[in-house]
Amino acid sequence: MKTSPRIRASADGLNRHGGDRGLMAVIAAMAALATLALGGWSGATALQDHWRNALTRTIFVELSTTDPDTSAPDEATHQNADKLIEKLNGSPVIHTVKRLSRSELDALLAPWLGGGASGTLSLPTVLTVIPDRDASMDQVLHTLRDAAPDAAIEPSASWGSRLGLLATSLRISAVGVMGLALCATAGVVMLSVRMVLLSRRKTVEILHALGASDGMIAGRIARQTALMTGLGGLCGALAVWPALTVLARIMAPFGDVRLSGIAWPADAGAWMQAALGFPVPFLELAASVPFVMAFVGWIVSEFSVRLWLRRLP
Amino acid sequence: MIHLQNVHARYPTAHRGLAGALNSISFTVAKGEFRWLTGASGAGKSTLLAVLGLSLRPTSGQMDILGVEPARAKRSQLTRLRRRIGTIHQDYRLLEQLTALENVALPLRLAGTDPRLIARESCDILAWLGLAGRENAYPDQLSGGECQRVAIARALVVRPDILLADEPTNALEETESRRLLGLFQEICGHGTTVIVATHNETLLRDFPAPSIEIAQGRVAGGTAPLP
Repeated sequence: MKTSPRIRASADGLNRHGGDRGLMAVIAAMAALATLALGGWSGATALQDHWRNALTRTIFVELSTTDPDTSAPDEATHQNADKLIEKLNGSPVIHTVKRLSRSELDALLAPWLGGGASGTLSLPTVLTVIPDRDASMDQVLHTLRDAAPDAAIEPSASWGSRLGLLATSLRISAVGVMGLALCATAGVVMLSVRMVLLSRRKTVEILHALGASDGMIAGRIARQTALMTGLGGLCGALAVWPALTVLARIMAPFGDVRLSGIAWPADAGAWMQAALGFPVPFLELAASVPFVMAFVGWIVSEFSVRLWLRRLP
Repeated sequence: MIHLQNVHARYPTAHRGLAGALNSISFTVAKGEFRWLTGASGAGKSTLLAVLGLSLRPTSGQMDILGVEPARAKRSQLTRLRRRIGTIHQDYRLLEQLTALENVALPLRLAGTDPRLIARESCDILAWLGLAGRENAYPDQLSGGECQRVAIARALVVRPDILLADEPTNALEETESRRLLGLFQEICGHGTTVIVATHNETLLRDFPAPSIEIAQGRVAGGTAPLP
């Protein structure tokens, strides 16, 4: 059957084919790596914030029992603790003061002493003090020493700063991995564009001779490359999502003291909920991965093609 | 108008050297003139057409094409200038992945012509060249003569100010050749400058016109006045 003459919208001889799947696969791998690193960066940032706000600012005050023969704090110690709590709650540099319950103390010591240690050992009454956000640590310690001169005071700031350094190094590593993934993407796109130009050399030369501008040729190739890298980025980001969900579950106890271990979702619905339950800022960043990949593909292609076209008169 | 003064051109060889193809070429062709470009094979006719078609940069010398000096022009100016020059190559230089119609439409698309006009004008010129019904054929489905006519249609469809043709009648039958030469002379009348490279003695005799003779990369003679 004879078809009527028709000019295809994309009929300029520059349509890509062949190597596109290879390019997409490599870009997908880079995007997966970048998304994982982004997850690591977000996780480390959240943990650092948590540690800085909760752990670093928490001070433990231990009030020794007045009767060394009893395993549990006696009545006098309780009364002292209540008086101290009342006094500290009135201080402008203290935000919260709380006495650790027996079960909380058991949970705290369980990794070292096993469960139920408070029932068999003579343990001090422990208060957790969270200073006011604007108060300096020196002011707070001074207030505590004034109020309870015999108490042992243990600020966890040193541990907090160490954990903060750990989180910072994790964040730097994640940024490094993201940078490497982007550089590798740029390199792969550059190679791919060179292959396209080599395989389409005659076409490009003909179009150039017919009056196609550098911008037209470069723009055409760059748009196609951007589409490929964008799709590759989307596939990579989606492919790595299950792994991110699992990692988020593994990391959860580090940021939530109420969790004593990894809580795996019970069924598919719970898994789905967990997969979609990431913080919005991270979801926004992860959603930007395909666009960043597309942008890298576009800008590198534009630059490479324009540079190559400079060889033509 | 085309004006060349002491133009030299060299091109890279397979042995990483430079081969001299044109030496001290000087001539002028006025607007609307028809000029034969003659000479033996390898004399430098195709290289000269490549220089005139802005596909090869001269190594030295002065050149003025339609009021633009390519050596001093910006790339964007050269792009616009190329759109005013139609070139018919010996090897057709059609895009294999495009149909005959799409090949012919390409210069119009690049020039930003109204899309509604592109198909009509491309079909018209293909029909005029006897290719009606072959619009959807790809170059590998066309004979040598048909490919030649598609290449001619592509060069003519933009109504160029300069038409450069390198042995355009090689793959055509005698009747078609004469018809094509008649067309070239007709478009000269509309102000297009036409330069046709050939070594076909019959055509030179049947269509007398001023000529430039090239031998060993130099202007060796001709019937046209030199500048």
